[in-house]
Amino acid sequence: MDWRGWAEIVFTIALTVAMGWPLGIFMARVWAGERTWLDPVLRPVEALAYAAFGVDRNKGQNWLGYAAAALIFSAVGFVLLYLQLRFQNLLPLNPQGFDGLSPHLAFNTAVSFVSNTNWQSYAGEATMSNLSQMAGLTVHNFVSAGTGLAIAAAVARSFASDRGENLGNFWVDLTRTTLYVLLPVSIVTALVLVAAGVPQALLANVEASTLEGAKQVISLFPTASQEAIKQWGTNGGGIFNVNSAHPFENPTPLTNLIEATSINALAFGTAVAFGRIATARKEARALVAVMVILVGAAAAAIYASETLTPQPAMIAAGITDAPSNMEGKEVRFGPAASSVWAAQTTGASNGSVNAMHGSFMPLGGGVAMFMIQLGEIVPGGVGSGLYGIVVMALLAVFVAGLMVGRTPEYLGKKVEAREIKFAMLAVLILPLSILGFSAIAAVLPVALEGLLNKGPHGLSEILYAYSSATGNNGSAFAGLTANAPWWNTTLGIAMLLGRFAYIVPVLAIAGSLAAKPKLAPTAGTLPSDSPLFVGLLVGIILILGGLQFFPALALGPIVEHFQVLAAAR
Amino acid sequence: MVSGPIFTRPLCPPPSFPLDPLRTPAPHLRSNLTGDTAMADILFLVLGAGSFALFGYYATLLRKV
Repeated sequence: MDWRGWAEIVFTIALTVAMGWPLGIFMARVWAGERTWLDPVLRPVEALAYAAFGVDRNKGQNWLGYAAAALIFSAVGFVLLYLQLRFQNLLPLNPQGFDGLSPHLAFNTAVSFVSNTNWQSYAGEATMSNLSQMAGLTVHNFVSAGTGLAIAAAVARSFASDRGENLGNFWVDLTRTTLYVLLPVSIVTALVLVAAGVPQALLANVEASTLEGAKQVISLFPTASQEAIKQWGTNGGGIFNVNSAHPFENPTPLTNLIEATSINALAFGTAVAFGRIATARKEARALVAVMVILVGAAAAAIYASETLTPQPAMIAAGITDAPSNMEGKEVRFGPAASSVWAAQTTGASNGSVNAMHGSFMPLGGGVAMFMIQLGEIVPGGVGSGLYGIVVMALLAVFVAGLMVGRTPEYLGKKVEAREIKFAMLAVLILPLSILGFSAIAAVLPVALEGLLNKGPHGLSEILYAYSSATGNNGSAFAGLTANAPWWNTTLGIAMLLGRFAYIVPVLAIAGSLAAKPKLAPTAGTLPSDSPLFVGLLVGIILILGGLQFFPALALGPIVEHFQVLAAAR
Repeated sequence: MVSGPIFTRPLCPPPSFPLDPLRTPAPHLRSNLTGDTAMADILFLVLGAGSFALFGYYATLLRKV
């Protein structure tokens, strides 16, 4: 641990927020249907899309219509992607002759990419054809992220509405967000990554001779384009098995900084856009502050764990002054860049990794897992982070209202029993799926077969897997072999629950709030732009997450931490 | 990111194929549908698509809250 590491963490997070701010202002214009500087190029494409699919851009939807559109779109995407993956051996652009995926792997992968999770039970370079990567997975990287952002736009409009029911049009929000936001930032980032050495090739492999004279096959793939949307869309699914630890996905510290900032910038930007649409700019800044505090604290905790925890294996080897735990980390990134990435990716439903979380010291891995269990809201996945933290904000003002005996309000909307019921239905999905599936997997032989480690680390692998799936994160504790019917099926169900059983009550909240009158703040209104509110919201997020998951974490990473301390003596 | 023991997997398949990116490999032009996999396909498609139908039904239930 040294000052340069701390400076790197602070700089990365500060740069991310700084990138998100102008993006948020631009996104608000896109969601409001206003003219942007991209209109001359993209307006005709947008009009063509509406004409092709028969969309009336002026026709609004209530919350039920909006939810139905999002569900139908995702269901059709699931079926098409499933069939594409199952029969990729019959389709073109398959230079390596990869076979079709097994049914359970196709189910898991299709759900994974439709739900913006990008959990991968397969090694990309040894499984997926070019067509599957480009016309299947990458397409869903865009549209699943667009779906999340569209729902965030609907939630933002519900606060601006005064006794209405119009939340916007899902098809318009999806189209505009994908065309005007996700596509441009991904194209620019992909070009920058190509310039920085990331390959972009349809040629699948090249052969090289090693110094020993052996032949080595080096996979290339259209990596840069997928890498860009992988980060901006908080998807996380990489071309290569080891994700952004691979030198082709993330070759230098510069590409590492570009990718790390891309993971969270849109999430911060979404909060800024929310503030503009909901006419609550100061309150949106409070949400950004909560996000920065929690992701910063997580990065600091992981960095401290990786540099301060004694390492039994190093001590046994006679090395007592090892500066940090480098197992599973890339030398070109080191502990600070690995720690801040881990905090950003697990706080964002991204799931890409530049270091192996399963190789972190126990508390470092535990913090990464805890970030996912908080609900992927600090700063959160694109769109999903915003509507997730708004749900928490509603719970925070509700708790505060109970304490002072007043009807709680948030951004000019009274928060009543109906909204709190919906909020609890949303947040309870996480423990139900994570703890429920983990409990079953911890005793079921067919599930335990996939574990590489036993003991507390084995429990951490199980907990992390279901946390990652339910939180739509997609990262994994290496060590769990998940490409088996049990894991692929149950993780797929967890991904569906974490995404869509959350979205439905969130849109119900939006519909309920939209129908209420917009109230002016009174003397009894709790200011939701104050440091007090920031502290309250941080507390609610931590307590809710802590109470639900602390007992399970105590049996996994926390007990493993003390085992490490005992072994290091 | 990928699950599984990362250092025990071969990084890529052996180089026994021509490097033509547009090629659809003839040896694989066969149906990969057997009786068992067809049944599994139906099961997983019903599980996935049925889940979305259930989420839709869930939304209609919430409307009555």
